[in-house]
Amino acid sequence: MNATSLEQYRNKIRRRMNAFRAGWLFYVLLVAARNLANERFAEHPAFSGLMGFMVGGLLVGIIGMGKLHKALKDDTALRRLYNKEHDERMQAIRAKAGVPVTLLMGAGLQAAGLVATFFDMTVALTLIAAGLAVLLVTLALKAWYSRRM
Amino acid sequence: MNTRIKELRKARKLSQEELADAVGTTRQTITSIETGKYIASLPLAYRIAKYFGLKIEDVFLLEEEE
Repeated sequence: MNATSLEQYRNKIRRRMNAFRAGWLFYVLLVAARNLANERFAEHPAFSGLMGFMVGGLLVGIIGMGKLHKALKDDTALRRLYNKEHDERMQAIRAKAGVPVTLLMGAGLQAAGLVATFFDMTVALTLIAAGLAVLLVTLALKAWYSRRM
Repeated sequence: MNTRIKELRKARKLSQEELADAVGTTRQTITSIETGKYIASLPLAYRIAKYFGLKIEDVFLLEEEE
């Protein structure tokens, strides 16, 4: 890993941190919109569900942000993070567990579930449960292959 | 696939983490290669061999039945 790619990676991390901050800003705007909106809109399951997913993701993201912040200050931590993200074994594990496809599928099912709350609660809950199941199976597969490889 | 990585690493008093940093991978990958759970790709095998100043076949030993 040369100095140029290290600097490019540092910029990539800065962009990720900015995206995370934008996520929190969006969440704050959603909270404000909920307080200003009429009761029917504010209490809608789609709105509550979106806020729930967002706050969950953002809270989990705080741990990741801590690592990114440390990496920006320390070149050794930055190199280790780069090595971890580009590690061939980890890429093989992700590919075997089907991570890219299942993540998209899980997120798509969750999003479809939120949209479905406008039409039918049973369908919505089924879609959300299916999305969670896909994500859990992916995590389990990833853990399984991590132990095997 | 057997490897001499652990032996070479111990001879140089290197930790897995130090070797991993030097060859651009993670400690877990070095562990997996040492225990035979994971077979390194050709580029990684080359980097490891180069780090020890040896040829790939001196570090990675392919058993006949494989």
